[in-house]
Amino acid sequence: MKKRFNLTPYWLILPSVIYLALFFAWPMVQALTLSIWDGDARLQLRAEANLRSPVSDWLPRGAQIEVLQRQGNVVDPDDLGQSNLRTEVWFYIRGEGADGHTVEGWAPEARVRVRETDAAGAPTLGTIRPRIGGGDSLTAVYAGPSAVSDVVGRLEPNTMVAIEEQTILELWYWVRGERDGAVVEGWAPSRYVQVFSDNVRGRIDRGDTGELTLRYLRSMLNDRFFWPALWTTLLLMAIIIPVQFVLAIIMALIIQQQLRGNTFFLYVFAIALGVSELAVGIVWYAIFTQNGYLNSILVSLGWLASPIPYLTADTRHWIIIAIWLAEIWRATAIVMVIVVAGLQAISHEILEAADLFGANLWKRVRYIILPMLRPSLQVALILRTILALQVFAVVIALSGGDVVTVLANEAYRQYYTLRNVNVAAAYAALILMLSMFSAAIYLRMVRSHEEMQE
Amino acid sequence: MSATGNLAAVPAQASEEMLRARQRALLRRRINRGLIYLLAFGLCLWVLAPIWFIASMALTTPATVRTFPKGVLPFIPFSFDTMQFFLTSQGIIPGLINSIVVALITLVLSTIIAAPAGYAISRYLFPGRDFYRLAILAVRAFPVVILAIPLAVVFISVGIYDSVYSLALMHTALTLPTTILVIGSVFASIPYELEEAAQVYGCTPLQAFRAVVLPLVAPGIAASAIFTFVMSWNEVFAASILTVRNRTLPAQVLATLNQSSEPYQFAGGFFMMVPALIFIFLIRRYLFNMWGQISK
Amino acid sequence: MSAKMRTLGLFVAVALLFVACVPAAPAPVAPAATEAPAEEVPAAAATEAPAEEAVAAPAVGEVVFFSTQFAPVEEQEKFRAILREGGFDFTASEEGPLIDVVLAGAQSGVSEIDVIGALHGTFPPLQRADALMNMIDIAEDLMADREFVQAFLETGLLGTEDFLYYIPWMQATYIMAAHVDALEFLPEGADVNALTWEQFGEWCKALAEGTGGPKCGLPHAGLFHRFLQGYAWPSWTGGMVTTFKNDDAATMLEWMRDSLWPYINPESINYAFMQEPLLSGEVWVAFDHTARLLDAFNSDPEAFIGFPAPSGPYGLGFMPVIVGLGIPAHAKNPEGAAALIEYLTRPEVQGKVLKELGFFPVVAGVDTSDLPPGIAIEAEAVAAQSSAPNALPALLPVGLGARGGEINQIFRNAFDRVVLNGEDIRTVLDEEGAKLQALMDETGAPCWAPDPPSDGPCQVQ
Repeated sequence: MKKRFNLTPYWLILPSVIYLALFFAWPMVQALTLSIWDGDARLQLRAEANLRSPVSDWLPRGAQIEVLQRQGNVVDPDDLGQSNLRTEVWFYIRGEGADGHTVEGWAPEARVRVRETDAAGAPTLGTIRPRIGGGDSLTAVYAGPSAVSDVVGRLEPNTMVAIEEQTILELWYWVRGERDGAVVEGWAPSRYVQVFSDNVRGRIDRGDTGELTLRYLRSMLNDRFFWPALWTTLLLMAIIIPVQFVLAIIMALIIQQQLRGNTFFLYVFAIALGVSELAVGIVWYAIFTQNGYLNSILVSLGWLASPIPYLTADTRHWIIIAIWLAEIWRATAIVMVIVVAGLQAISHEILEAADLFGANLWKRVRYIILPMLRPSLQVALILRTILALQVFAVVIALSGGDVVTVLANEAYRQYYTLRNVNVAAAYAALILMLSMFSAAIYLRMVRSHEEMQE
Repeated sequence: MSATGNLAAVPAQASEEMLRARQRALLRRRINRGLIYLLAFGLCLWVLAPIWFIASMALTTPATVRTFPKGVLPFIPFSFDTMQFFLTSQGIIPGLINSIVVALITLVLSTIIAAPAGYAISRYLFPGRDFYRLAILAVRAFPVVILAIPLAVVFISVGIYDSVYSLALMHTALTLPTTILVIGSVFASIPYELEEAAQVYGCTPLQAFRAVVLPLVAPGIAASAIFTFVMSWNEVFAASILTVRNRTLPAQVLATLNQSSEPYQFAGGFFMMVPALIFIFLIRRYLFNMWGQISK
Repeated sequence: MSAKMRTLGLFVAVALLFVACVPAAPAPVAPAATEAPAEEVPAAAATEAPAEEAVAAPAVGEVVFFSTQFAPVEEQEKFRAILREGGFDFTASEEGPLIDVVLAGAQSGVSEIDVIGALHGTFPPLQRADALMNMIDIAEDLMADREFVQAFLETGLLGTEDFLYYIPWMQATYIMAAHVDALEFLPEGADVNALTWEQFGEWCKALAEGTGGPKCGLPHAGLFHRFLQGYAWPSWTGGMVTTFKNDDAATMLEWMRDSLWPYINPESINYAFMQEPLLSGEVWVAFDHTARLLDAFNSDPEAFIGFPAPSGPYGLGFMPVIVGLGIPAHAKNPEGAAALIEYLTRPEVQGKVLKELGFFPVVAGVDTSDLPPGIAIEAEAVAAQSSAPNALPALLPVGLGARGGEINQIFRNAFDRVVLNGEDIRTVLDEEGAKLQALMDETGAPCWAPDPPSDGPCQVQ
């Protein structure tokens, strides 16, 4: 191994670094911060009903409030492009009421469907939308562009109305709430506030700024699946990985014996690589299910009177055994292929010399092959551990995902079933940490040996 | 194999004993050999049994799939119906082509980027080496589900969304860590002295590399090629997120397989398996050293 | 070696060229062996001129339609045949990736998908992110010539007054199915079409003892939370959220733990759908989705019967499953999307979906004469369930926004912890009830049927 310090290695690794940084660095950092950052925990209140006004105070999400005032600011068309603006469009309309009288006043755009526009794109003609859902089918028309101004009339659905004016408003509420025992007041954009039916009480629906928080980590730790998932994951790793390594080394040594049909054996041993995790889950479920292969064979041979259910909530040990077998079947090939590739570099002469001096198989393995395989074994161990932490398709297939669960399954559940990205990010961070921790240990175990070799 | 010395120089009486000892040693070796064959066949059976089950369930009638006890003698009755249904479902052929293209591009790109990096981490002890190895592992260690939306947004914004090339880029990123580390580990097993020796004999460093090291490292490249192809071939998640119209086979077949009924699950699983098995079959020779240590 | 490498490289190059040059058309590229019921478009079927090829048609263009329903391969092809008659196509997808793609489209301002068809529960996360278009105008146009079930239009509002997030597309519900051999084990005097839950438990017990093993099944790995929210809790307690942890609920859990679960096939923890266990004989009585039981009924109408869910002290709680069609906010082809929705909500097309796929219509005027025997069995059971004198419809949770999954988990936790793990009932109910209350408070969701309406967040008593 060369030990010069020059820039060559950096040039050699540069493409990979650039590539991975492009794809993963930023999204991964973003995702990891999600586990400790609550993006909409606080709603900022302002001194004036204007986004440019300075922030005077804030209220937490979920705080109970009272809405004391409303203000609709007319929005400049130039400002419409801003994304955090929630606007209401009001039309000044004129139409015929049910009793034949003309009704004119303001109505929200949600109630009026524009049918015609003029050359400049401004709406000129519309109809009153029918109301879906319960509630008054008549649409109220107001004196001013606000839902709390006086009602000057009502129009029936599908009434044709002329649209004379249009104004785009941004609605703000002056709210009063409590935080840390003190009363807090300020202007808040309406989109963040949920108002109850009496039009006075309400709550902060979401905030517009975030804070660092441990709530997601706590939520993960208190989740009823957390500890079972952690223990099961560690248990599975402990019982699967050593067995796989022994099996893989045995397979690799068999290959090395140069039996007749060597490539056939190698191919067969490597077949499991090509089977996707989902298919592995399907077939091992078919083996262990009550009407599956295992019971079929046992019943046909007469060793069992009637089929035993293996994959049930009362027989979790059987589920673990099934997962253990399925994973060993599936993933041993990964280790074996790496080991076989590494075996190639072991000089044949050394092995012959050892044989010449009377070393039996066990001694040859222990003192020559294993040490020279160290780099390959190290890589295989790291990769296998990392992949083992990500396995969940097999677990779901054999247990439904609730009775026996692993960390990767929990990350998946939090993300897809519960749509709780933050807690899912916490699980992902935990998986990442466990992987890095074990990888670091494996690297350290071998590094000292390398340094000894020099 | 091992020499037991030159017999000619030994006196006659001792040669009798030596003959018997030799016969015993040969017998022991034959028994050992036999045991090894037995072990090899046993392991083959262990690996092949589930494949056998999938194949037999995929190639039989749905009614047979549901019987109990399940016959271990499969293919009775033999029926290609479920498989045919699968093969003629919409989008299977385009999906197949897309998957193959993505896998091959991934393979090539991944190997090209990873080989120099593998060489660097095996031959040079540079500051940041361990950090680099850990950092690239982080890519593989992080559950990609969480990254779904940011990645999709990036791809859409750059304008390369929904194309086999973008999916190949994503798969390359996912397989780089494996490739770098596996190739690196094989390089590490090859003593640098070989390169030095070749240079002593007049080769330039590049020639030394090509003539001496490259053949020895081919098994490592073959191994990582297998991993890369298979990983890309079976990859469901990124394919579901990053392709809308140009779907790969897993996005079409595997993504919703667990909702199908059992006969179709087997057919789908079997169908997905076959091309990967063919690929491994084609590459298997390269796992062996070119210069005849173990090759047949 | 080099020869092989050369051929491999050649193959790669050819494949790359192929992919680059052939247009990326999802339209049936290989019509070779697929069934071709109506490759040409019947002239009267659509007002626009629908297109077979990707880019050619001027009026509708290509509509990218993703659906989480009809994902099993068999169903995909049947549905695709129906769509093809209108000149459309679809892609089946799981719910999770679909939501991700729509959210990514909303964030980036470009949506690759034009129409999504999904269960009601898929839409709230999209509502939260403002990722959907208001369908109210499309609904208004459609309502001119067809009549929707009013209640389902209202659920599409997702709690708002004027923003319609989806147009109802299909409905389904859960019913019970049984193999005729199981009928002899019914308890004395029990009418299979009017069972109580206790009688159901006795039936399962008789089956277990009479046949040597538990023969009732529940889809624990599937939409089991809908069973708990829509059938179990309403029947036993009269409510869903308000009565979550009261004494009636405790009685129910005790009954489930002691008198029901021991006679349920324990492999139920792995069953997402009950069709396979029913057909293979592992289970003789099952509770499942109408569309998932269809194959069993169709394959052997004489061997299976369908019947309404049992009732409890407070009535026959049941929950409809609503599937809706929505348009993502920045869809590329909203006109085509509207055309597709118009097509799928036509009574004739709804009738076809009913006959072939087992999802019931949401518009009036669907011809229900001459139904295949499998569907006829289901339709009878569904009608019996919803028109029973003590029917107690439960609605899907509304107003929970993106946290809709949590309420499902709470109900499942309550069941799993008591029945599977054997924890103390009162402790579990109090703990999960507290979580439920916190969820209600944090989302501000008011109560929904069967609970009485509330002002402000729903309260757990």
